[in-house]
Amino acid sequence: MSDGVPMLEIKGLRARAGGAEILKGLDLVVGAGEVHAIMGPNGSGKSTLANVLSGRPSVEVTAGSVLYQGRDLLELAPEDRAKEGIFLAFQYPVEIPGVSNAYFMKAALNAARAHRGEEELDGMDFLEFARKKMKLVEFDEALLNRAVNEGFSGGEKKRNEILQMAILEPRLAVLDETDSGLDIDALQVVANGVNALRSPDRSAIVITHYQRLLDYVVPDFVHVLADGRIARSGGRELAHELEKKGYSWLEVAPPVEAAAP
Amino acid sequence: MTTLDTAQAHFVSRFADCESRLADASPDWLAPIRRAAIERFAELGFPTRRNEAWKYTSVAEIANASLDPEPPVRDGVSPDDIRALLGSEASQQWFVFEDGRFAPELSSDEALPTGVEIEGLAAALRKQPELIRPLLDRADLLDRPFAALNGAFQRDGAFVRVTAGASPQRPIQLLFIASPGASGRVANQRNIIRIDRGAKAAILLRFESCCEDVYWTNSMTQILLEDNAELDLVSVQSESDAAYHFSSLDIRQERDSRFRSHQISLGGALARSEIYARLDAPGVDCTLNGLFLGDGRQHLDSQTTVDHASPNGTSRELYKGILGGHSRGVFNGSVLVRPDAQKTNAQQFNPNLLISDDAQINTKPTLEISADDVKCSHGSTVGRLDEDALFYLRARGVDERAARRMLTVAFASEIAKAIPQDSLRTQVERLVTAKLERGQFAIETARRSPEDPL
Ligand SMILES: Nc1ncnc2c1ncn2[C@@H]1O[C@H](COP(=O)(O)OP(=O)(O)O)[C@@H](O)[C@H]1O
Ligand SMILES: [Mg+2]
Repeated sequence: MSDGVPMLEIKGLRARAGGAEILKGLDLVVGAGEVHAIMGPNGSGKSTLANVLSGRPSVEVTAGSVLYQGRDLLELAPEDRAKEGIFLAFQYPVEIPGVSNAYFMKAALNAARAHRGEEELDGMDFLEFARKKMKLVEFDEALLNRAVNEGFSGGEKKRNEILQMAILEPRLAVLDETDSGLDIDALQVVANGVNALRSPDRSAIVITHYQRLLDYVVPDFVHVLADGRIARSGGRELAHELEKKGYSWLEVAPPVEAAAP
Repeated sequence: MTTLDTAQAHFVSRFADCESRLADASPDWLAPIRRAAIERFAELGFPTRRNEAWKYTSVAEIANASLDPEPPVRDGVSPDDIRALLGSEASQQWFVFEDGRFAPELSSDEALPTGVEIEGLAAALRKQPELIRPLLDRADLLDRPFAALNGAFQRDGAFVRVTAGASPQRPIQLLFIASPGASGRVANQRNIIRIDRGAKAAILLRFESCCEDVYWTNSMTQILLEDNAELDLVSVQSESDAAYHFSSLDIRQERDSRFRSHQISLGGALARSEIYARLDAPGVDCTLNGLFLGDGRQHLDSQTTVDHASPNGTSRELYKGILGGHSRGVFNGSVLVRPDAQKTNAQQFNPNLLISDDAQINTKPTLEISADDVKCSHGSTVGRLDEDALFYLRARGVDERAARRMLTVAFASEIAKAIPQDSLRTQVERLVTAKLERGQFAIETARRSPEDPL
């Protein structure tokens, strides 16, 4: 990647969903190689931000810009964003009866490979590749032959997201509360998945409620999202402060002008 | 006179013209059975939409089509036609029926599996009248107009018997093919399938055509499962897009027998299937699965009745519809639980997927319960592809077209997956996929829905 161009540059982003404005002028810059944590109260717009980045049709961007590696992200279809290296680990992974997990992941990987001009993997090669990744995220191979997320436990669904991330090796991973509801072992799996991808040319946005995950995935920056804007940005010590004080102190304070790190 | 009346008069007078010719072709005992059938048809006539069972299906088009219920015999199908149609499956064992008549010269000459008897019904009813006559001489079958018409003009069809305790390894495959230039012909075929005590079999009824003509397949299949018998019946209709297809299945199940129907409706301008399953003895298990895929201006109608007439019966019914273009689907499923049928367990479900704005479905699942100790459920849904699932796939890099196709195939796949025999399942999957990938349907399954704001 060319020097100095950030991985992601969001300016003045406003977005509506379900008839209401949810994001109200959000600014955020994520540099290459950085991990940013986003925290914030329920309903503050964290998932909406993740949805804007991945291109969910039901979220409408009304103002602002999003540049991904210097290119306009918002004009790309969701599948093209994925092929360009954006990955969203869903807060609520979707169950898809009738579509096998293995078939789906192979289709996803091959779509990205074809886009990069690489040869597509056949069933055997895919399986070999997937096995290594399954080991990394301690994924039960039996789940690979089931329908996507169908009847998976909450933890299995989250592991499935991390497995997909490990397989697709994104440039920009967005994890939407992937740690919620996980025990400490599963949390470590999530952390391993993210840390394995850490490199100077990959970045991650980790949305979380708990500072716990940040002990394992140490962020370069922490932001607080409140009422559709970044209310506060800082280093990892901000996460500890939030853990102690909660968010209530933020809601009374007027939103700070976005501080790009 | 309405069109329907004119057509009715035409069929009745055609019978009078052909009665002696038909009589020459069959044993004497069949003549009065035919006569009773045409008399019943003359009373019933072509069904109008005032008839509740025909509320959503108009047969005016059939009545208008000037069809001949007793056309001269032709040998228009060649072995090459069959090979072209079946592709790699042509090397399997097939019993072929041309315009409803058994065609031994087109059928495989491999030996029959042990315990299996197959021949044309025309021949079988001469050899085994004691077995077949009571099945044909059933007044209750005449209450549906096209079944009555079939009774009047029936000549031939398939007779299949699996003898007591037999369990043939391979499925028994019957191919019903409309000949090239079948225009104007009605094939009134009658099939009889008998699975004797403790026998177990899988049978495929595959309806195909060698032409794009307007013809009418009017098929009636009677199935008897004796005590503890088991049958998977896979029926796939891929008639010409201009054809009319009407098929009636009458199933009698004796004690502890297990019947599974897998019915796939792909072709035809107007296709209707009627299934009547009577669970006559205790401990019977009946599964009715179905899939109808409509596009263009197709009209696909499925009528099913499961009649629990005895205790401890189980029935499961799952009919799925996928409709595109200006097609229309009709599902009318009823489950009857008679007073004696305590401990009945009956489920019925009809989910439908509409992939175009102009497609329509009329679905009416009904339950009529006269016993108190039963477990029954029924329902239907009409929907579009799940937008959340679609987004999930796209967010992983799967193109929208491919994602729509994947979800549509997934919706359909449940029915094929329930077929236990690998070779039949593969065959059905291939035919279903081919339909989903054909012409307009392919475009629509991949089209983005109008609500999609992108
Ligand atoms: N599709 C939608 N329809 C209606 N309301 C929505 C929709 N998406 C988000 N919202 C609303 O927007 C607000 C922010 O939601 P979300 O981004 O999910 O918050 P967070 O992830 O921070 O908890 C909430 O009040 C939520 O109810
Ligand atoms: Mg959220």
